[in-house]
Amino acid sequence: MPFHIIASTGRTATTFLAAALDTIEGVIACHEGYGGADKEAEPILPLINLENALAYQDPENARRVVAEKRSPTVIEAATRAAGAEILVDVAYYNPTIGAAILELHPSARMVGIIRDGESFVRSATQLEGEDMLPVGWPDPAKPLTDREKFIGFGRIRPARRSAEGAQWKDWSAIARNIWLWRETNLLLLAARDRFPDRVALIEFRDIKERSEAFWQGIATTLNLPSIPMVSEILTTSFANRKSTGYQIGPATDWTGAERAFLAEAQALVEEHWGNGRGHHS
Amino acid sequence: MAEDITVERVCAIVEQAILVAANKDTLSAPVGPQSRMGEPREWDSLSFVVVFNAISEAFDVELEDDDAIHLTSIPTMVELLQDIAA
Repeated sequence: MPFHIIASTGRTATTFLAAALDTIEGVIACHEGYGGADKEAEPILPLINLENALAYQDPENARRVVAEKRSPTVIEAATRAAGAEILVDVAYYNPTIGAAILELHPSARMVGIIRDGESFVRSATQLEGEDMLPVGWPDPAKPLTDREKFIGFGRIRPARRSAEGAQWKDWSAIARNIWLWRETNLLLLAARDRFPDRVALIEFRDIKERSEAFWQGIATTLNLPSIPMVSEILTTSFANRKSTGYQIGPATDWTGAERAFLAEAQALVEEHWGNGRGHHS
Repeated sequence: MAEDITVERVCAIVEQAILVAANKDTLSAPVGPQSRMGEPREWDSLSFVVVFNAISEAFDVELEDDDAIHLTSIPTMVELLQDIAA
């Protein structure tokens, strides 16, 4: 039974994307396990939260998480229960478990969505007030709600004994989210290198600038029918700004060290992206 | 670290923490040696943080974020505490 995934850092319209894909006949599209991105309903798939950090630490952990929560048996049961033929899960945790999913499901495909580093960091966290979409690392001094703390337990961070792990406690929210952006995208690039025929990387900015191509890139990679209605939705009603606005200013307002870290991270991602980069065709 | 790491004591601490978090007098099911997040259903993502803090305080142990995954079931929680105590 076909099973595909869409992976990103988060803050790449993934809720919207899952809802749009869910309108295709025969497809059940989940956002982080919830069918059609409806988080009021029971999840379609076993939820993955704390396991994300565990999977990042070791590929063997990732295989164990996938064997338990995304096995062929789990996927088949979920797809049948939803009365669908194809299941797509769109989630922030797919970069850490994507390669293990592609190993276990030989026909599975993955789309990775890459957003530019500066705008991701600006949108990743709220410096004040409860963050209802806590995708990224908060300011280390910010008091967190239990919900924010729980989500934080599952967020990837540097290995404690690594050089970056030693610096982590001194890093600002900006530096931590630059790291999150770099590591997540390097995981996507590593999956593409391992499974070049089954992984496609597309640029988030295309959702607005080249909407048809953005949708086609997803549809072609995942062998989904092209539905004009979906691309119309993407073109006409898409908005991705947090309702609270961005509390982190542009990179020109960051410290010199933060700007240098971003430049270094961007260079690393660009270098890995290399020749495979470019608008999908 | 405090001694007395028994399954019974861990179950009692977890049950009490979940009751406090859920603001209830009883749970949908008791916390037993095989309980895990979702069983009872009040052991959810919000009560998880209360359980995390209660275990840390009761056993006088400084838990790291990386330990969180081990606090999702009674067996793994007991194993973690015994590892730390060893």
